[in-house]
Amino acid sequence: MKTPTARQQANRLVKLMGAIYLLVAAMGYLFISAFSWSLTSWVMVAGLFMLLFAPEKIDDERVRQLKLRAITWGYAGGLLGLGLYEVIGKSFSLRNLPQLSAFDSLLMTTVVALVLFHYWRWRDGRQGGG
Amino acid sequence: MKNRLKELRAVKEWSQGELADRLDVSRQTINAIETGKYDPSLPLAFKIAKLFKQPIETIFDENDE
Repeated sequence: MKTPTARQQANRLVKLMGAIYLLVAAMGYLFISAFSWSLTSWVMVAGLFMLLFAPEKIDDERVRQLKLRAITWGYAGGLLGLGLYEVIGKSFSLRNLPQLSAFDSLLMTTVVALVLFHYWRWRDGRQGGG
Repeated sequence: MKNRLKELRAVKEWSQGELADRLDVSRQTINAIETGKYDPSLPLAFKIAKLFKQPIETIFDENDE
């Protein structure tokens, strides 16, 4: 088993910090009144960015290709979905529909990108193709 | 693009993980190449050819038929 390099250890630390940020955001929102949704979404976005953009343990060409593709689809698809959300809200005068902030948008698009990346990685690892 | 990676790996009795370690890529990447989901870049293809001591053309076939 290879000993992780200093860079790999640093990347692992960044991912761990990202996970901690998510945990702090969730716990803060649930149990601390000072944690507004605005603050929570900011902290969550910071955590998700660390998870998404920190290099993987083995950051080979395929990983980079899948990550770029996931970011492309995540952000394009997410922004399209958010645009539709706004249009539908205005078209039907849905006053009770919550307004989405920039951090909400970033949160959703980043979650989509992360899910896509890990799904495609899992599919790459499946034996027998498909 | 078709390739003989799985066949060459079997001859050497290497697992996907072992081959991945030798090429400094992930196991998922090796599986993706073997199952045709991914065509490696030229540097990686040359690395594979060098590892198996065979010309690239005998490992990778651009004709998909």
